[in-house]
Amino acid sequence: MLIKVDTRGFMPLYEQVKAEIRRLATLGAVKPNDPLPSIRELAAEILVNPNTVARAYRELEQEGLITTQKGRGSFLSARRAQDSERALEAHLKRKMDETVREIKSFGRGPAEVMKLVEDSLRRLEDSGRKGGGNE
Amino acid sequence: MSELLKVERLSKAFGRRSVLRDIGFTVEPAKVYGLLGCNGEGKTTLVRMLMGIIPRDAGVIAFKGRPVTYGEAEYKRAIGYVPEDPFFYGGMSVTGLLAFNGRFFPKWDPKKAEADVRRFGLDPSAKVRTLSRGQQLKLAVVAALAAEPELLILDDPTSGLDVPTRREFLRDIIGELARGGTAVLFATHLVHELERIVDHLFILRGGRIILDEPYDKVKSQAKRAVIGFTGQPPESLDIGNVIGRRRIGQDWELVIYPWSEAVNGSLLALNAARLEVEPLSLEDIFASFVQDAR
Repeated sequence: MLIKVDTRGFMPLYEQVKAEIRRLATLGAVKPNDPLPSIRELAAEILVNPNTVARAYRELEQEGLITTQKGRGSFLSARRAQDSERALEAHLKRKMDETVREIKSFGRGPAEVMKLVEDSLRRLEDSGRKGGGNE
Repeated sequence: MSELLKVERLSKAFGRRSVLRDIGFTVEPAKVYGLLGCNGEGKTTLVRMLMGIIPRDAGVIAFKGRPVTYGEAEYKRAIGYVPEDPFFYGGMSVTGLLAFNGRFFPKWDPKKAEADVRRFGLDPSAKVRTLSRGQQLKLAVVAALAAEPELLILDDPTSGLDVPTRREFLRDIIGELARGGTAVLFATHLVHELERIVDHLFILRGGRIILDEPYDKVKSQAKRAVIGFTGQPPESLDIGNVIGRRRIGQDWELVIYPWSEAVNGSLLALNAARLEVEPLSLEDIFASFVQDAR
Protein backbone atom coordinates (compact mmCIF):
# COMPACT_ATOMS: atom_id res chain seq x y z
CA MET A 1 0.00 0.00 0.00
CA LEU A 2 1.57 3.25 -1.11
CA ILE A 3 0.78 5.98 1.37
CA LYS A 4 2.48 9.34 1.33
CA VAL A 5 2.50 11.95 4.03
CA ASP A 6 4.04 15.38 4.00
CA THR A 7 5.03 17.19 7.18
CA ARG A 8 4.99 20.59 5.50
CA GLY A 9 1.28 21.10 4.93
CA PHE A 10 -1.41 22.46 7.23
CA MET A 11 -3.10 19.04 7.37
CA PRO A 12 -2.25 17.01 10.49
CA LEU A 13 -0.52 13.69 9.77
CA TYR A 14 -3.43 11.52 10.93
CA GLU A 15 -5.75 13.39 8.54
CA GLN A 16 -3.27 12.73 5.75
CA VAL A 17 -3.23 9.01 6.55
CA LYS A 18 -7.04 8.97 6.48
CA ALA A 19 -7.15 10.85 3.20
CA GLU A 20 -4.61 8.49 1.66
CA ILE A 21 -6.53 5.36 2.64
CA ARG A 22 -9.71 6.93 1.33
CA ARG A 23 -7.93 7.76 -1.90
CA LEU A 24 -6.60 4.20 -2.30
CA ALA A 25 -10.07 2.81 -1.64
CA THR A 26 -11.61 5.08 -4.25
CA LEU A 27 -8.94 4.25 -6.80
CA GLY A 28 -9.59 0.58 -6.16
CA ALA A 29 -5.98 0.00 -5.09
CA VAL A 30 -7.45 -1.46 -1.90
CA LYS A 31 -10.64 -3.46 -2.39
CA PRO A 32 -13.46 -4.30 0.04
CA ASN A 33 -12.35 -7.01 2.50
CA ASP A 34 -8.67 -6.41 1.67
CA PRO A 35 -6.47 -6.38 4.77
CA LEU A 36 -4.77 -3.11 5.69
CA PRO A 37 -1.24 -3.08 7.08
CA SER A 38 -1.04 -3.29 10.85
CA ILE A 39 -0.61 -0.05 12.75
CA ARG A 40 2.95 -1.04 13.50
CA GLU A 41 3.82 -1.91 9.90
CA LEU A 42 2.31 1.23 8.44
CA ALA A 43 3.92 3.48 11.07
CA ALA A 44 7.35 1.99 10.38
CA GLU A 45 6.82 2.20 6.64
CA ILE A 46 5.82 5.84 6.44
CA LEU A 47 7.89 6.84 9.49
CA VAL A 48 5.21 8.28 11.70
CA ASN A 49 4.16 7.76 15.29
CA PRO A 50 2.01 4.61 15.72
CA ASN A 51 -0.43 6.83 17.67
CA THR A 52 -0.98 8.76 14.44
CA VAL A 53 -1.86 5.63 12.46
CA ALA A 54 -3.99 4.31 15.33
CA ARG A 55 -5.98 7.54 15.40
CA ALA A 56 -6.48 7.46 11.62
CA TYR A 57 -7.69 3.83 11.76
CA ARG A 58 -9.94 4.56 14.72
CA GLU A 59 -11.63 7.46 12.96
CA LEU A 60 -11.95 5.57 9.66
CA GLU A 61 -13.58 2.78 11.59
CA GLN A 62 -16.04 5.23 13.17
CA GLU A 63 -16.75 6.53 9.69
CA GLY A 64 -17.38 2.97 8.53
CA LEU A 65 -14.69 2.78 5.88
CA ILE A 66 -12.69 0.10 7.68
CA THR A 67 -13.45 -2.62 10.18
CA THR A 68 -11.11 -3.98 12.80
CA GLN A 69 -11.28 -7.53 14.10
CA LYS A 70 -9.51 -8.42 17.29
CA GLY A 71 -6.35 -10.36 16.57
CA ARG A 72 -6.89 -10.28 12.81
CA GLY A 73 -6.23 -6.66 11.99
CA SER A 74 -8.07 -4.08 9.93
CA PHE A 75 -9.86 -4.52 6.62
CA LEU A 76 -11.50 -2.27 4.12
CA SER A 77 -15.23 -2.50 4.78
CA ALA A 78 -17.31 -4.68 2.50
CA ARG A 79 -19.79 -1.92 1.83
CA ARG A 80 -20.62 -0.98 -1.68
CA ALA A 81 -18.03 1.16 -3.38
CA GLN A 82 -20.68 3.87 -3.71
CA ASP A 83 -20.58 4.43 0.01
CA SER A 84 -16.89 5.14 0.10
CA GLU A 85 -17.44 7.30 -2.95
CA ARG A 86 -19.97 9.28 -0.94
CA ALA A 87 -17.63 9.51 2.03
CA LEU A 88 -14.91 10.79 -0.26
CA GLU A 89 -17.26 13.37 -1.77
CA ALA A 90 -18.14 14.57 1.73
CA HIS A 91 -14.47 14.72 2.66
CA LEU A 92 -13.53 16.67 -0.46
CA LYS A 93 -16.38 19.10 0.09
CA ARG A 94 -15.22 19.64 3.65
CA LYS A 95 -11.62 20.30 2.53
CA MET A 96 -12.81 22.69 -0.16
CA ASP A 97 -15.05 24.53 2.31
CA GLU A 98 -12.11 24.95 4.66
CA THR A 99 -9.93 26.37 1.92
CA VAL A 100 -12.60 28.67 0.52
CA ARG A 101 -13.51 29.86 4.01
CA GLU A 102 -9.89 30.76 4.65
CA ILE A 103 -9.59 32.62 1.34
CA LYS A 104 -12.84 34.49 2.04
CA SER A 105 -11.60 35.45 5.49
CA PHE A 106 -9.05 37.60 3.71
CA GLY A 107 -11.87 39.52 2.10
CA ARG A 108 -11.62 37.91 -1.35
CA GLY A 109 -14.76 37.73 -3.48
CA PRO A 110 -16.09 34.83 -5.62
CA ALA A 111 -14.16 35.79 -8.77
CA GLU A 112 -10.90 35.93 -6.83
CA VAL A 113 -11.64 32.59 -5.20
CA MET A 114 -12.18 31.03 -8.62
CA LYS A 115 -8.99 32.58 -9.94
CA LEU A 116 -6.97 31.22 -7.01
CA VAL A 117 -8.39 27.73 -7.57
CA GLU A 118 -7.62 27.87 -11.29
CA ASP A 119 -4.11 29.20 -10.67
CA SER A 120 -3.51 26.43 -8.17
CA LEU A 121 -4.66 23.78 -10.65
CA ARG A 122 -2.38 25.17 -13.30
CA ARG A 123 0.59 25.29 -10.91
CA LEU A 124 0.04 21.71 -9.76
CA GLU A 125 -0.27 20.49 -13.34
CA ASP A 126 2.93 22.32 -14.26
CA SER A 127 4.86 20.81 -11.39
CA GLY A 128 3.34 17.41 -12.29
CA ARG A 129 4.77 17.73 -15.79
CA LYS A 130 8.17 18.66 -14.42
CA GLY A 131 8.24 15.32 -12.67
CA GLY A 132 6.14 16.19 -9.64
CA GLY A 133 9.11 17.47 -7.75
CA ASN A 134 7.96 19.87 -5.10
CA GLU A 135 10.64 18.54 -2.77
CA MET B 1 -1.55 6.55 37.03
CA SER B 2 -1.40 8.86 34.06
CA GLU B 3 1.86 10.56 34.98
CA LEU B 4 5.04 8.68 34.38
CA LEU B 5 7.40 11.51 35.15
CA LYS B 6 6.66 14.79 36.85
CA VAL B 7 9.21 17.53 37.31
CA GLU B 8 8.59 20.62 39.41
CA ARG B 9 10.61 23.79 40.05
CA LEU B 10 13.83 22.14 38.96
CA SER B 11 16.87 24.43 39.00
CA LYS B 12 20.54 24.08 38.34
CA ALA B 13 23.53 26.40 38.32
CA PHE B 14 27.16 25.67 37.60
CA GLY B 15 29.04 28.01 39.89
CA ARG B 16 27.41 31.38 39.46
CA ARG B 17 26.03 30.52 36.02
CA SER B 18 22.37 29.57 36.23
CA VAL B 19 21.57 26.95 33.59
CA LEU B 20 18.01 25.88 34.37
CA ARG B 21 15.39 27.77 36.36
CA ASP B 22 12.03 26.58 37.62
CA ILE B 23 11.65 23.77 35.13
CA GLY B 24 8.35 21.93 35.38
CA PHE B 25 6.70 19.42 33.04
CA THR B 26 4.86 16.12 32.92
CA VAL B 27 5.43 13.00 30.84
CA GLU B 28 2.58 10.55 30.24
CA PRO B 29 2.87 6.97 28.95
CA ALA B 30 2.82 6.14 25.24
CA LYS B 31 3.63 9.64 24.05
CA VAL B 32 6.62 11.14 22.30
CA TYR B 33 7.97 14.34 23.80
CA GLY B 34 10.36 16.56 21.93
CA LEU B 35 12.68 18.58 24.15
CA LEU B 36 14.04 21.23 21.83
CA GLY B 37 16.72 23.75 22.54
CA CYS B 38 19.85 25.11 20.91
CA ASN B 39 23.20 23.75 21.94
CA GLY B 40 24.13 25.07 25.36
CA GLU B 41 20.57 25.66 26.51
CA GLY B 42 20.73 22.91 29.11
CA LYS B 43 19.05 19.90 27.46
CA THR B 44 21.81 17.55 28.50
CA THR B 45 21.97 19.05 32.00
CA LEU B 46 18.24 18.49 32.39
CA VAL B 47 18.44 14.91 31.14
CA ARG B 48 21.40 14.18 33.43
CA MET B 49 19.46 15.44 36.42
CA LEU B 50 16.49 13.25 35.46
CA MET B 51 18.88 10.29 35.28
CA GLY B 52 20.47 11.16 38.60
CA ILE B 53 23.88 11.59 37.02
CA ILE B 54 24.32 15.07 38.42
CA PRO B 55 22.58 16.52 41.49
CA ARG B 56 19.92 19.21 41.24
CA ASP B 57 20.06 22.46 43.19
CA ALA B 58 16.32 22.56 43.82
CA GLY B 59 13.09 20.96 42.71
CA VAL B 60 11.24 17.67 42.64
CA ILE B 61 11.56 14.77 40.24
CA ALA B 62 8.81 12.18 40.67
CA PHE B 63 8.67 8.89 38.78
CA LYS B 64 5.28 7.16 38.76
CA GLY B 65 4.10 9.37 41.57
CA ARG B 66 7.09 8.83 43.85
CA PRO B 67 9.71 11.56 44.39
CA VAL B 68 13.20 10.25 43.70
CA THR B 69 16.36 11.29 45.44
CA TYR B 70 19.77 11.92 43.94
CA GLY B 71 21.85 8.76 43.95
CA GLU B 72 18.85 6.45 43.94
CA ALA B 73 19.05 3.62 41.39
CA GLU B 74 15.71 1.86 41.61
CA TYR B 75 13.56 4.07 39.34
CA LYS B 76 16.24 4.07 36.67
CA ARG B 77 15.61 0.39 35.97
CA ALA B 78 12.38 1.42 34.25
CA ILE B 79 14.13 4.05 32.13
CA GLY B 80 16.09 3.44 28.96
CA TYR B 81 18.71 6.12 28.49
CA VAL B 82 20.71 6.80 25.37
CA PRO B 83 23.25 9.54 26.08
CA GLU B 84 24.76 11.87 23.54
CA ASP B 85 28.04 10.03 23.70
CA PRO B 86 27.46 6.55 25.02
CA PHE B 87 30.31 5.31 27.15
CA PHE B 88 31.15 1.65 27.06
CA TYR B 89 34.04 -0.43 28.26
CA GLY B 90 35.92 -0.62 24.97
CA GLY B 91 37.52 -3.95 25.70
CA MET B 92 34.23 -5.80 25.96
CA SER B 93 32.55 -7.55 23.05
CA VAL B 94 29.05 -6.54 21.98
CA THR B 95 27.59 -9.71 23.49
CA GLY B 96 29.66 -9.39 26.65
CA LEU B 97 28.65 -5.81 27.17
CA LEU B 98 24.94 -6.57 26.75
CA ALA B 99 25.16 -9.51 29.19
CA PHE B 100 26.94 -7.25 31.68
CA ASN B 101 24.36 -4.50 31.23
CA GLY B 102 21.46 -6.93 31.56
CA ARG B 103 22.37 -7.76 35.13
CA PHE B 104 21.25 -4.29 36.23
CA PHE B 105 17.77 -4.56 34.75
CA PRO B 106 15.12 -6.91 36.18
CA LYS B 107 13.05 -6.91 32.97
CA TRP B 108 16.07 -7.46 30.71
CA ASP B 109 15.19 -9.53 27.65
CA PRO B 110 18.33 -11.26 26.32
CA LYS B 111 16.47 -12.62 23.27
CA LYS B 112 15.37 -9.15 22.28
CA ALA B 113 18.93 -7.87 22.73
CA GLU B 114 20.24 -10.67 20.56
CA ALA B 115 17.61 -10.12 17.87
CA ASP B 116 18.26 -6.36 17.82
CA VAL B 117 22.01 -6.89 17.49
CA ARG B 118 21.31 -8.96 14.40
CA ARG B 119 18.71 -6.56 13.07
CA PHE B 120 21.07 -3.59 13.48
CA GLY B 121 23.83 -5.48 11.71
CA LEU B 122 26.21 -5.37 14.66
CA ASP B 123 28.89 -8.03 14.93
CA PRO B 124 28.20 -9.79 18.28
CA SER B 125 31.86 -10.65 18.81
CA ALA B 126 33.29 -7.23 17.85
CA LYS B 127 35.11 -5.31 20.56
CA VAL B 128 33.16 -2.19 21.45
CA ARG B 129 36.15 0.09 20.82
CA THR B 130 36.28 -1.00 17.18
CA LEU B 131 32.69 0.18 16.53
CA SER B 132 31.96 3.41 14.67
CA ARG B 133 30.00 6.23 16.29
CA GLY B 134 26.82 5.07 14.55
CA GLN B 135 27.38 1.48 15.63
CA GLN B 136 28.03 2.50 19.24
CA LEU B 137 24.80 4.46 19.19
CA LYS B 138 22.95 1.41 17.89
CA LEU B 139 24.47 -0.64 20.67
CA ALA B 140 23.26 1.93 23.20
CA VAL B 141 19.78 1.72 21.70
CA VAL B 142 19.84 -2.09 21.82
CA ALA B 143 20.85 -1.91 25.48
CA ALA B 144 18.17 0.68 26.28
CA LEU B 145 15.38 -1.25 24.54
CA ALA B 146 16.27 -4.70 25.88
CA ALA B 147 15.43 -3.40 29.35
CA GLU B 148 11.79 -2.93 28.20
CA PRO B 149 11.72 0.62 29.51
CA GLU B 150 8.58 2.51 30.45
CA LEU B 151 10.38 5.71 29.54
CA LEU B 152 13.04 6.08 26.90
CA ILE B 153 15.25 9.16 27.15
CA LEU B 154 17.27 10.03 24.09
CA ASP B 155 19.80 12.82 24.38
CA ASP B 156 20.49 14.17 20.89
CA PRO B 157 21.30 10.67 19.67
CA THR B 158 21.07 11.42 15.97
CA SER B 159 23.51 14.32 15.77
CA GLY B 160 26.55 13.17 13.88
CA LEU B 161 24.72 10.36 12.10
CA ASP B 162 24.09 10.27 8.36
CA VAL B 163 20.57 10.51 7.02
CA PRO B 164 19.98 6.80 6.26
CA THR B 165 21.20 5.84 9.75
CA ARG B 166 18.96 8.50 11.31
CA ARG B 167 15.97 7.10 9.40
CA GLU B 168 16.82 3.57 10.50
CA PHE B 169 17.08 4.82 14.05
CA LEU B 170 13.71 6.53 13.75
CA ARG B 171 12.18 3.29 12.44
CA ASP B 172 13.50 1.46 15.51
CA ILE B 173 12.01 4.02 17.85
CA ILE B 174 8.68 3.71 16.02
CA GLY B 175 8.85 -0.05 16.43
CA GLU B 176 9.42 0.43 20.12
CA LEU B 177 6.47 2.79 20.40
CA ALA B 178 4.24 0.27 18.68
CA ARG B 179 5.11 -2.24 21.37
CA GLY B 180 2.85 -0.06 23.46
CA GLY B 181 3.04 2.11 26.50
CA THR B 182 6.61 3.35 26.24
CA ALA B 183 6.99 7.10 26.54
CA VAL B 184 9.86 8.80 24.75
CA LEU B 185 11.63 11.99 25.73
CA PHE B 186 13.70 13.04 22.77
CA ALA B 187 16.13 15.90 23.44
CA THR B 188 17.45 17.31 20.22
CA HIS B 189 18.30 20.34 18.15
CA LEU B 190 17.80 18.41 14.90
CA VAL B 191 14.07 18.50 14.50
CA HIS B 192 13.54 17.04 11.07
CA GLU B 193 12.94 13.43 12.13
CA LEU B 194 11.19 14.40 15.31
CA GLU B 195 8.49 16.14 13.31
CA ARG B 196 7.11 12.80 12.13
CA ILE B 197 6.67 11.26 15.55
CA VAL B 198 6.35 14.00 18.14
CA ASP B 199 3.16 14.27 20.23
CA HIS B 200 4.18 17.06 22.55
CA LEU B 201 6.74 19.86 22.42
CA PHE B 202 8.93 21.44 25.05
CA ILE B 203 11.14 24.31 23.95
CA LEU B 204 13.97 25.24 26.26
CA ARG B 205 15.45 28.71 26.09
CA GLY B 206 17.25 30.93 28.54
CA GLY B 207 17.04 28.25 31.21
CA ARG B 208 13.26 27.97 31.08
CA ILE B 209 10.65 26.00 29.20
CA ILE B 210 9.08 28.64 26.98
CA LEU B 211 6.68 26.29 25.19
CA ASP B 212 4.85 23.26 26.58
CA GLU B 213 2.07 22.31 24.16
CA PRO B 214 0.72 19.39 22.10
CA TYR B 215 2.39 19.43 18.70
CA ASP B 216 -0.92 19.29 16.77
CA LYS B 217 -1.92 22.51 18.47
CA VAL B 218 1.39 24.22 17.75
CA LYS B 219 1.34 23.03 14.16
CA SER B 220 -2.17 24.32 13.52
CA GLN B 221 -1.67 27.65 15.29
CA ALA B 222 1.76 28.63 14.00
CA LYS B 223 1.67 30.38 10.65
CA ARG B 224 3.89 32.46 8.46
CA ALA B 225 2.37 35.60 6.98
CA VAL B 226 4.07 37.32 4.08
CA ILE B 227 2.83 40.86 3.62
CA GLY B 228 3.74 42.63 0.42
CA PHE B 229 3.62 46.40 -0.06
CA THR B 230 3.73 48.27 -3.33
CA GLY B 231 5.44 51.37 -1.99
CA GLN B 232 7.76 51.80 0.94
CA PRO B 233 6.79 49.18 3.59
CA PRO B 234 6.10 50.49 7.09
CA GLU B 235 9.02 50.52 9.53
CA SER B 236 7.10 48.38 11.95
CA LEU B 237 3.81 46.50 12.03
CA ASP B 238 1.42 46.45 14.92
CA ILE B 239 0.32 42.80 14.87
CA GLY B 240 -0.17 40.63 17.95
CA ASN B 241 1.39 37.25 18.75
CA VAL B 242 4.39 37.76 16.47
CA ILE B 243 7.28 35.50 17.47
CA GLY B 244 9.53 36.20 14.52
CA ARG B 245 9.82 38.93 11.92
CA ARG B 246 12.05 40.04 9.12
CA ARG B 247 11.89 42.46 6.24
CA ILE B 248 12.79 41.21 2.79
CA GLY B 249 12.78 44.08 0.28
CA GLN B 250 9.25 45.41 0.22
CA ASP B 251 7.82 42.47 2.11
CA TRP B 252 7.43 41.78 5.75
CA GLU B 253 7.56 38.17 6.85
CA LEU B 254 5.99 37.45 10.20
CA VAL B 255 5.85 34.23 12.16
CA ILE B 256 2.73 34.22 14.28
CA TYR B 257 1.86 32.02 17.23
CA PRO B 258 -0.81 31.47 18.27
CA TRP B 259 -2.89 32.39 15.25
CA SER B 260 -6.26 33.98 16.06
CA GLU B 261 -9.19 35.77 14.48
CA ALA B 262 -7.88 39.02 15.99
CA VAL B 263 -4.49 38.52 14.33
CA ASN B 264 -6.21 37.67 11.08
CA GLY B 265 -8.26 40.86 11.38
CA SER B 266 -5.30 43.10 12.07
CA LEU B 267 -3.42 41.60 9.09
CA LEU B 268 -6.40 42.35 6.85
CA ALA B 269 -6.62 45.87 8.23
CA LEU B 270 -3.12 46.60 6.90
CA ASN B 271 -4.67 46.66 3.43
CA ALA B 272 -1.44 45.37 1.98
CA ALA B 273 -1.05 44.68 -1.73
CA ARG B 274 -0.36 41.03 -0.99
CA LEU B 275 -0.95 38.75 1.96
CA GLU B 276 0.02 35.11 2.01
CA VAL B 277 -0.42 32.77 4.95
CA GLU B 278 1.45 29.48 5.03
CA PRO B 279 2.01 26.57 7.39
CA LEU B 280 5.37 26.18 9.11
CA SER B 281 7.56 23.14 9.52
CA LEU B 282 8.66 22.20 13.02
CA GLU B 283 12.10 23.47 12.08
CA ASP B 284 10.68 26.90 11.19
CA ILE B 285 8.62 26.98 14.37
CA PHE B 286 11.60 26.07 16.52
CA ALA B 287 13.85 28.59 14.78
CA SER B 288 11.30 31.35 15.35
CA PHE B 289 10.99 30.60 19.04
CA VAL B 290 14.72 30.64 19.66
CA GLN B 291 15.73 33.20 17.04
CA ASP B 292 16.77 36.22 19.09
CA ALA B 293 18.33 34.03 21.75
CA ARG B 294 21.58 33.92 19.86
